[in-house]
Amino acid sequence: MNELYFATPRSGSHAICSMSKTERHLLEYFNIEDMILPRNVDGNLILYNLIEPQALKFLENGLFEDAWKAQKENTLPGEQVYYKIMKKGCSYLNDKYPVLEEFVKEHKTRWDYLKNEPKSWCVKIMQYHYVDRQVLKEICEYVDVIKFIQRKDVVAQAISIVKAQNLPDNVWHATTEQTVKLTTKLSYKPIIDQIESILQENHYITKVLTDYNYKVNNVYYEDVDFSDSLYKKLTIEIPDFDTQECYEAAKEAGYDYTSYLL
Amino acid sequence: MLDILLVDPHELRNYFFFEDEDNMQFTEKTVLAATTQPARLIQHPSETLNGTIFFLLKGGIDERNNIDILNGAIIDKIPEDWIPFINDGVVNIVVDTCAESWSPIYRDQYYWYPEKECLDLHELLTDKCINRGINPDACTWITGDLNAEEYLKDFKGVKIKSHCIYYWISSVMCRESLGKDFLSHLGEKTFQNASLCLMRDMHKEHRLYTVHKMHTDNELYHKIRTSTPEVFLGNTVCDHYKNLYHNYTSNGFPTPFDWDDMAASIMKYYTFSPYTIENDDIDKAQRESLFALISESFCFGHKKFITYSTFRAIISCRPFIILGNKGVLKQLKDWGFKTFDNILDESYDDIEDNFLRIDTALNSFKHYKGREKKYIETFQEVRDIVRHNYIHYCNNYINANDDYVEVFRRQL
Repeated sequence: MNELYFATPRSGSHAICSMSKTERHLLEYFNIEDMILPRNVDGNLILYNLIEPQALKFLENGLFEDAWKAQKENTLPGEQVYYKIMKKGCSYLNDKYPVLEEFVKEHKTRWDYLKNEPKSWCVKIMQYHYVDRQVLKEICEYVDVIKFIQRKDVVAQAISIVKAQNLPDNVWHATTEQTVKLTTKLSYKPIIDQIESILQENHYITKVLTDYNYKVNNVYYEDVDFSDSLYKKLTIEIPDFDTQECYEAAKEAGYDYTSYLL
Repeated sequence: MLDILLVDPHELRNYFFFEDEDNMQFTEKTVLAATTQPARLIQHPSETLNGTIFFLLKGGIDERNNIDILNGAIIDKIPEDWIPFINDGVVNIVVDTCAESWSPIYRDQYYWYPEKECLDLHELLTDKCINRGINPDACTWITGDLNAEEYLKDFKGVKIKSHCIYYWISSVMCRESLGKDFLSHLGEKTFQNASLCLMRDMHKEHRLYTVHKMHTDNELYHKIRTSTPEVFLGNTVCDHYKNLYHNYTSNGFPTPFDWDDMAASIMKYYTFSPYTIENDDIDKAQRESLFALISESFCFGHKKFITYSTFRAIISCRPFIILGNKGVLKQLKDWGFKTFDNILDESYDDIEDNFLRIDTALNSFKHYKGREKKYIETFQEVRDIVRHNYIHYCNNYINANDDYVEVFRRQL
C-alpha cells in the first residue's frame, strides 16, 4: 500500500504523514530546490549570503532551469559549500553543484527509484515542489490512496503561516511540543494574502486530482487526533495580536470562515 | 553525556539551558550554556561515575555568586566527602569564566592605565585546593583570555585553558543575522556609510577614547555611523567620561587626552545622541556600511579577548577593522579566517601601546586603499575575502567548542 499526500503549508501535513502505517515516510522527497541551495558542512544552515535572489524567485515559480543558471553564476570554484542530494531515497550532502541535465530531470529520477521501492511508502507533494506534470500523473495513477489534507479554518492556517514566517530560524516543524514568543508586530495584510495563496493552492490540488477522485480521501486538520504523531504542535505567541480582528479583516476582504468557528 | 555536580546551584537558569523552563529538572535534555552537549546533574559522586564540579561565571563581579568564584570561596563549598573522589580522579573541577574577560595579571609589564578584570585566579584556586587537601591538578580554570594558557604554561597548580566561547555562541546570538542576505544586490546606493561602529557599554575607556578620537577628526566624524545607548548603567556618555578621567587622575595615571578638548568633543557627541540602532536594524545598518569598525569588548591590557562583535562582522560579510586587544587579527588568521591587508594597513594588530593601537587602526580606516573610489568598487576588492570568512565561520563554529567539552570529559 503506497500513499500520496497533497497539502498546503501549516496544514499539519508533517504530523499527519508521520502517522502513516507505511514503512517509509518521504516528506520532502520531491523538494529538489535543496540541490542548488548552498549549505554549511553539516547541512543545518542554509548559506543565504551565497544565494542569488533571482534564483529564489525562479524557484518560487518552478523555473528550475533558470534558477539553476542564476545560482550557478553565484557559485565559485573551490568554496567549501554543500548541497543536499537524494540517492536511492536517502538524503546526502554533496560538495558539487549539480549538472543542469541531472537537475532538471530530478523529479523523474526520484520517481523512477520510488516506483521500484519494495517497501511501502507515503510521499507528500506540495505545489511549491513543482513536480513535473508527467511524473505527477504517473504518481497519481500508481498510488493506492491519495489524501488531500486541508484546514477548515483557512484564516487560522494563514495566521499560522505568517507567524511561522516570522520565526527567527524558520522552525516549521517541532518534534517536541513547544511555545515560541515573538516580538515582531504582525499586520493583517500578509494574512489576507496568505488566505488567497492557500485557496489558490487548494484549487490547484483539486484540479490535479480531478481524474483520481475515486481514490482521494479528504483529511481535515481539525478532525485529526495528533496524539500519535511524531511532530507536535508549535505554538507561536505574539503580544498584542488579536485573532478575532484577523477574522474580521478576512471577512471584510471577502473570506468569511466565522461559520466554522460557530 | 556530561555528568555535572553543582555546588551551591542557586539561579540554575544561569548555568544551563532547559528544555522545559517551568519544570527545571536536570534531565538528558539539559544542556550546558556553552555547548549543545546534553548534561545530567548528579547529586553525589560515585566510584563508577565520572563527573565535573562546575562553576560558571557570567556577568559582573556583583552578580549571582560571581564573587565566590573570584575569591576562590567556591572551593570551600565543596562537600568534604567528595574530596576523595576528586583525588581519586573520578571527579574534576571546572571554573569557567570564559564568557567574561577575566585574565591573569601579566607580570613584567609597565602599566600606565588602570587594568580591568585581571586576577590571578589560578593562584587563588591552587591555594584553596591545597588548603582543603584537594589535588590542584584536578581543577581547570577556563578563561576567555586567549593568551593565558600560553603565558601560564609552566605554572604548577590548577590547569589553565584558554577558550573563545563566542566563536560558537555567536551562531546563536546572531542567529537572525545568519538568515539574512548581505551580499546580493549591492550597488552604489546600498552603501550609505563608510563604516558602522557599535558601542554598547559606553563606560569602557577604549570606547570613550574612540569616540573622542572620531570627534576630533573631521574626516572620521563624517564617515562612521555609531550606535551607543543614551544612558548606560545609569550614566550618560558624559558621566562615563568624567568617571574615566577621575579614575585616571585619582590613581596617578597620566590621562590619554586633554580634558577640555575631550569634554568639548564628547558634549558634541552627546548633543546628537542617542545614536542607538535598535537590534532589528543593526543588520540593515551594517548592510548599508562598507566597513565594520569593531569596538571589541576589551581593547586595553595584555589579555586577548574576542567576542561576538567580531563574529557578527564576519557573519555580516563586511571587511573589518578591530579596536581590540593586540594580536586579534593574528588569532583570526590562525583560525583560518582572512583579513583585509589588500586594502588596509593592518600593522595596528602588532602595536603594544593601547592608545597608539586605536590611533593606528582609525588611521588605517581613514586611509584605506581605494578611498577615492565608490564604496561598491572598494567592496568588490574584498568580496572574495568576506565570502571566504562567512563560509569558514558557518563550517567551523559547529566544532569550535569541541576542546571545551573535552575538559568536562577529561579522564583524570
